[in-house]
Amino acid sequence: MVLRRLKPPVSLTIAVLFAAIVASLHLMSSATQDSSRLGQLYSSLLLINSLGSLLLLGLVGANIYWLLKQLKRKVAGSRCTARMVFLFILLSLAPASIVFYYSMQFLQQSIDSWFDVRIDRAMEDALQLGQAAMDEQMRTVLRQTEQAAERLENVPDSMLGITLSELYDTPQDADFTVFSKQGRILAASGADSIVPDLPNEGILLQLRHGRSHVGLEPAAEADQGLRIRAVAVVNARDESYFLQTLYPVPRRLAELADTVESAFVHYKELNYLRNSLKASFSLTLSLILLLSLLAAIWSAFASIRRIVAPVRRLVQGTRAVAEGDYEKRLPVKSKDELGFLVESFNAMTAKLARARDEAHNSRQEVERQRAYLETLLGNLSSGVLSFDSRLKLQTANHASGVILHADLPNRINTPLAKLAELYPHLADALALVGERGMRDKPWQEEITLDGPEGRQHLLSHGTPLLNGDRGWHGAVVVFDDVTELIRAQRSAAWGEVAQRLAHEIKNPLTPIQLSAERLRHKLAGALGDPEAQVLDRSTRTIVQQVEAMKTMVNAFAEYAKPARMQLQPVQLSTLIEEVVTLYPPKSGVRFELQLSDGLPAISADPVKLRQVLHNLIKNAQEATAEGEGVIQLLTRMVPDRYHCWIELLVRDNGPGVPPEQVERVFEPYVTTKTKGTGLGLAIVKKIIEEHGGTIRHDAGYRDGAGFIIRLPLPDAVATSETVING
Amino acid sequence: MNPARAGFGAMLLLAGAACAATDAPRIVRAELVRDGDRHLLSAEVEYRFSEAATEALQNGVPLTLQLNLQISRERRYWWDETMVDTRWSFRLRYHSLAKLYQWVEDDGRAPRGFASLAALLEEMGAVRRLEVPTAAVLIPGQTYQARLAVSLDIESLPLPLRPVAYLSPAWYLGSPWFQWSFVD
Repeated sequence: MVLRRLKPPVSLTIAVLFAAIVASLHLMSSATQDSSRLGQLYSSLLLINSLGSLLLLGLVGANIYWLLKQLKRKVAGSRCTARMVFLFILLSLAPASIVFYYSMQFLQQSIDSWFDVRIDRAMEDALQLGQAAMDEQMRTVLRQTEQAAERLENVPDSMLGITLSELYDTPQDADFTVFSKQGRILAASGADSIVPDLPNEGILLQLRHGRSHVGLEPAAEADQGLRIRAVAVVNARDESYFLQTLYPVPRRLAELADTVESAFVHYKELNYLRNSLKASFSLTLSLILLLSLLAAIWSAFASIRRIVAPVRRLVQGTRAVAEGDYEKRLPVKSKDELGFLVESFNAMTAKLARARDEAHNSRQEVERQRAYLETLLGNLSSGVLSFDSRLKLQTANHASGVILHADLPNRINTPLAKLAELYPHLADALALVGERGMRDKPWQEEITLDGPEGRQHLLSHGTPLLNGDRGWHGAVVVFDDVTELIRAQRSAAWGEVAQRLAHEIKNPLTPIQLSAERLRHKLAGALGDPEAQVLDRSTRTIVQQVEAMKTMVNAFAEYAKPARMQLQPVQLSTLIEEVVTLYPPKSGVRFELQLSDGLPAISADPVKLRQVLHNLIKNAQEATAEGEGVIQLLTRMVPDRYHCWIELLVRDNGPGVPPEQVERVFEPYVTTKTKGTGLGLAIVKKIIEEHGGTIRHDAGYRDGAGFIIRLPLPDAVATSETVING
Repeated sequence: MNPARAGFGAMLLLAGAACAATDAPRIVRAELVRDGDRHLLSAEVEYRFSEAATEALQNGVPLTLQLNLQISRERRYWWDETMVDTRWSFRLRYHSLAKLYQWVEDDGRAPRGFASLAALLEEMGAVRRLEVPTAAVLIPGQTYQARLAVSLDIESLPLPLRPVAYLSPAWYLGSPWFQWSFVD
């Protein structure tokens, strides 16, 4: 990681590295080939190059480890890098190995070819020849020395020097020394007699045993060639001593011998070092190969990483784009084809981002429109249904469910036929919609259906959905529940009629009554008894009937009169109990009360509610047989989607409402009974509606007539009150 | 040859020094004697050469040995101070024509020849009164630590032999340090 962070320019690093390696290898190669000044640096160079190899090996190892780790993590571009590195190593390793193999072969063979048995032999012979020549010289010198030693016998010590000079009167380069057994010099003569060179301990030991010594040795000064040392024992009278002759080998002979000797030594050394030489050459060659290869591989890693970098970035970029990040921009670092590719990628992602933004915006717009439409549909009092080309339900707003008493909003994608099965009361209506819906033209129709709350009238409009090429692929049906509207129209009409009637009928009634009374008053005395009785009876009948008619007209006027409400909080259960106590058991009905505890108070006019209860009880009382009437009164709280309602159920055990009258049971003068004004239920309905509530026939109750009254809880009442007052 | 192995071998070489003690020289005795403004080193060295070294010598490869003397002063809270670090080099070679083993010293004296290697080594082992220039350095009356060792100078071997000499224990011809203290 640290290595990657330290990033000098790669090309510079590679150049410097190669220069260093080549310089070092060149030095080492030169050092291997000749033993000049560079030879002293050989070991250091070897060590430096070995360390360099180790360093490179570490670098290459780190790179390989890094690559393997990346491969394992499936990092982008790692496989490409691995393949290229492998290829590069293969390409560089193959020729290098071949060259290396043949170089080694050549090296081994050429070194071996330096050595030949005949040359070996010749060298040995030359040396022996030299030794033979030297032996001859040595024998001569030894003989001379021994002869001189014989002549020195019995010469007194003081005469030794003179005798020695006499013996060797001919000027020679030789040195003569006479010394005692203890190494004391007794006499010396010759060219270099200042510090006579005495033999070493080994020779002295030999001499002490009485044996002469002769030997060849290099001269004291290196350039003086060889000399022969001959030592003989001088047997003196009282003590024997030694005579030493140091005789320089003739210059020419010495030179030749030296040449032969050094050549022989050199050859022998070479022969001995043959394997070491091979090994060191091989070592140098191997090191060169290894260093070059490692440097090449490391450089390959560095360059391949540089080459692959844009590809890796591209892959990362592509991944980012695949994951939805269109903001990804890659740096353009080169002007080549890869740079062009990266530029194109950037252009592509920019376009993608733009397209994505546009799509996002339009999706948001669509979503907004959809939400708007949904809100619109949801708050629409009209029911809206839409079907696709296979007549599967696609849209159903809340109102459609409420109107049709079916959970249609949760039946999206249900076919029409299946809906008909699920909701049998809708079967006819849905069949009609299906049939009409297939048309290519808009349609309008009033549909009647028998819902759970009685007959409903729906005013329906259908519009076909056409696609681009005007082909039919669905339909929209919008319908309104006009049941209430029709009822209200009917009520309003009745109100109008009632007021007219009241007005028109009530006006002549008083003159009629007054006229009748006047008639009786005037004629009562003038007529005879039987006529007077007839008159009295007739006028009384007229007055009575007029009174009755007045009562009826007043009731009618009451029904038609606009509402005047005195609202106050009312506990419905308490009110019911109060009303029920007014009907003692002897009145012929029995009450069964199921009143929920803790119902909240409603805002209502208690007087009017009492009238509602009286009307309903009276209605039931009249419908049931004398003495067997049972009236059930139930209250409960019913939560709705928007409001909470207090529900009051009034049920009797009478014959019930005939089916043909169910629809019009709340209209005035719709009654099956002989008694009553025929306005009871009409007034009940009017009062309930004035309170913002609803009343309907309980179609589910089969044991008699049942009515369901719903009264809103205060917040809802407040709303309806403003409506009524407004 | 693998350079990694070379590096490894160099480490082996140091570790192998002690193991190769049987064929290595040993310093039996050493002493320093003051002589005026200098010291004289006398020592007894038992030279033992490995077969490889002997064979190389007989095949004309000269061997260079170094005698290294170090004199140091003890310091209580610091490393010892090295006062003197002297080396004497001498070369051994075989003269084929004369069939002699030669002992060549640095001081320009004539090489000394010996008929056998053993004679040469014995002679060479007796170090007599080698001069140590100590006048300006050592203070009389003070105690000093001296140590002496002999080693083969591999760098002066022929070039092809050096890697082998560095790696092979047979070529480790150094003695362990011989230490003694003396009062000047």
